[in-house]
Amino acid sequence: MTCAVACTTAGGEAGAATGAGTLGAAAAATRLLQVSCFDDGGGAPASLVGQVEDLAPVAAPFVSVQLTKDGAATNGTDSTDGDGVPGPLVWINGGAGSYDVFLDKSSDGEETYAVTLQCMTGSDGGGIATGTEVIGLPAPPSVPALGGLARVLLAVGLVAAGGACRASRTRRSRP
Amino acid sequence: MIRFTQGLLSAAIGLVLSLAFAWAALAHTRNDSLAAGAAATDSFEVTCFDNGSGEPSSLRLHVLDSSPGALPLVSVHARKDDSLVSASDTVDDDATASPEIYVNGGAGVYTVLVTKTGAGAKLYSLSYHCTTGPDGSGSHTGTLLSVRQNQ
Repeated sequence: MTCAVACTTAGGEAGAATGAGTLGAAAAATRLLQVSCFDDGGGAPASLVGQVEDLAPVAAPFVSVQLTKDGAATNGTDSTDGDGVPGPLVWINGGAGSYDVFLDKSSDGEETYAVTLQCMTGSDGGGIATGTEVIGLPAPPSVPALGGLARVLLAVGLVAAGGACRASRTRRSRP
Repeated sequence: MIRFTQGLLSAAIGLVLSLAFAWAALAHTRNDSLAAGAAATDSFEVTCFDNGSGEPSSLRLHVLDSSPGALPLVSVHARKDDSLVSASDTVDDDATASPEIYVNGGAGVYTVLVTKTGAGAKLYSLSYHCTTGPDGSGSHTGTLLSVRQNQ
């Protein structure tokens, strides 16, 4: 499952909430996510499990994820960039409710990452998957904005195409 | 004679105040450690308040990796409301800390985490100061740290 601005998984589903994004070039670039764990029929949540993968292209910074709730916190870092192997699974036992998830990196350089988050019915990431809602992952890339010249050319093209269509319809309507 | 005594008294008061400010700054450094497990995380709450020096505007932090050896790197993360910042000390066992980071969150409670990038025990020194100006500027003001988790 790919997660955009918000996503929810059903209880007991094998697939976790997964999303991807980019951390900008500045060393302090971060992303803050919020995860809500709730019982959607899969069972009452006991813990949140998270994992981050540092995707290619390879760059110097390490990418990390921190999970925190009510003063408890944990950290997972993908120590090898672009190898297809994510960082370790980490978890905190916070029960139902809202968790904060931090995504960050260790130094300058843009980084692309994938993050996986899942609420579980057991402690330490055990049990089965249950209701998970993630808010704050970046939206998928949109259509690139057009410049002024491109807009003029597009408008001219659309007008020309519209004229051709009208001419074509007119011709077809003749007996 | 009276003028001399007044001058001496003023100098003494100035010295005491300078020492008090220096002590306050030094007091906002926490020397601690992270256990060997890769996920070891220390969690703190830093409360910024007006102690008479002025209303807080921001929290300024950095972390110094004071362990010998190379990896893992030590990082500090600070959050208040929707603002989150992070910095790492990329060179171990030197006198240079991570870059300074700031959260412009005003008065209140900030969440601060110290983590590392992999397995291996680490020593660190965390510096944290609430200030009256944005981006860590202005005067030092009321700063109180409480430990939520020590791993």
